[in-house]
Amino acid sequence: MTFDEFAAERLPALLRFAAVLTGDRGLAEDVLQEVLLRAHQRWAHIGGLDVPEAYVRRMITNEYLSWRRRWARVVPHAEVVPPGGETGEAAFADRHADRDALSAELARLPRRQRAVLVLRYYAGLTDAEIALTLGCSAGTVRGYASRALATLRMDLAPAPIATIEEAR
Amino acid sequence: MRTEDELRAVLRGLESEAPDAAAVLPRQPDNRHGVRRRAVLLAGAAAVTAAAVPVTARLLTDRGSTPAVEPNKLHPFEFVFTVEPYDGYVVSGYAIAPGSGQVINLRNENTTGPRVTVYQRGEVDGAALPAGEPVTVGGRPGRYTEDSIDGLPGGPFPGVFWEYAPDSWATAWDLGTGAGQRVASLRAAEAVRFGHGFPMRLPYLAGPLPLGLRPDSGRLETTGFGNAGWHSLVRLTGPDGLDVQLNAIDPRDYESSGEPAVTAPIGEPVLLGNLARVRFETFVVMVGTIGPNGMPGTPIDALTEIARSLTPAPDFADQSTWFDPRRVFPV
Repeated sequence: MTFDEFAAERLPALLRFAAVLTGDRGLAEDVLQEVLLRAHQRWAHIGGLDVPEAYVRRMITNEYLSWRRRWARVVPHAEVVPPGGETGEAAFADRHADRDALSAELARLPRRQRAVLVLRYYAGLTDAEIALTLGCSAGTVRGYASRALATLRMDLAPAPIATIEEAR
Repeated sequence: MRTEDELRAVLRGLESEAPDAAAVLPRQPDNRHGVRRRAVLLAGAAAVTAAAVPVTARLLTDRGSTPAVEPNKLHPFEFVFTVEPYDGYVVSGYAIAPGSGQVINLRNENTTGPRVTVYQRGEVDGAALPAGEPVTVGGRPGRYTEDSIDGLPGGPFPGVFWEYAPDSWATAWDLGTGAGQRVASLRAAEAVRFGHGFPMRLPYLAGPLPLGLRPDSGRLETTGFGNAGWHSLVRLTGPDGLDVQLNAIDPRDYESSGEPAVTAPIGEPVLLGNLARVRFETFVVMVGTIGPNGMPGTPIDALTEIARSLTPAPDFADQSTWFDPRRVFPV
């Protein structure tokens, strides 16, 4: 597979992943451009891998977490304004407001904690796969996830691993 | 309590933030080279942009002088060029790192602009550069190409490149396409002014560095959000792969990023996570090893020692009060 073929086929998914990971369109653009540039330069190696997308996704994650990126952009967090009751559907409004709040709280998480949640709950990776991506142990991944989920006040009743497997 | 399904729904909702493919692969339909590099986004508010002008102006010298950048002759945070403001574009960021050239980013009130990179003598193999269209930049020979300039470290860079001194190359490029790309690149190149040492100022003085640490690379850039202040990063390296960074940032931007509040008295370092943090009147500095919250084996005592040794510049918002890096980190 050439780089152009890879980009044509997988770019939309990578765009979405970068957006979810960063939570910011501009930062997603920045990160993805840098990564695609490097991936292009190293395509002779990356193109020969079994799953080039996984490698590129790992590059995206690490670029997002890198010291160069950490403070390259400081994203403001808008105040969450609960919607008014004009629709009369209080339950819907409450749910909507809570999702806004959850989104804002996600944005405030330390980057590594956020990355773990995105890799686990969006990309559907196992903790072992996340550990490989981040270059740490699975136990460390679970520690990050535990702290992040506690911060977000998540109900952990469903076992994460089982849920991931079901999602696959 | 929230459920994991709600978390998944929120994460899926963030897909709507996905940028257009055109934004990251502008030439995808006619993509001979895969990607075109774009200037790092250094969005800055108008007030910050305006504040950058006097700093840049102070650095200007006559353009007739084009000395080569001699390897290892400069302080690691010392630039040999700057870019004169033109057409509303001003300097919005600096970056300097071994082997990657000296980089200045530009922007105007509304958008990011071209990037100029100057390489040290011998750092670029001129014979490996593409042919391109012959151009002249500041009286020196150069070429413009929309092909990848793969011979430049950190490339490829579609744009203009020129030999500003014997065996010494510089490049300017922009995100534009076609004629716009050519005009923007050449205009930025023509605005380059060479001289003899322009310091990338730092907002603090530091004591002697422990553990054999030395200044390695740095960045100074605007943040385009929140309070849109300057953000200074310094990277120090030492024996056995020791890698330490100092981040200085406006406290309001610091707090809005979700980092824990620094409640210790002003000037008193506090350890939060594996990062030593110290708050001054107008900014916060974090000292840590590379990686969020530091890496295992972080030399905590040394980080705290560095943080405690810092003396802040009087006004973080006014770079004229900042310090010459040659004084901060003598080498």
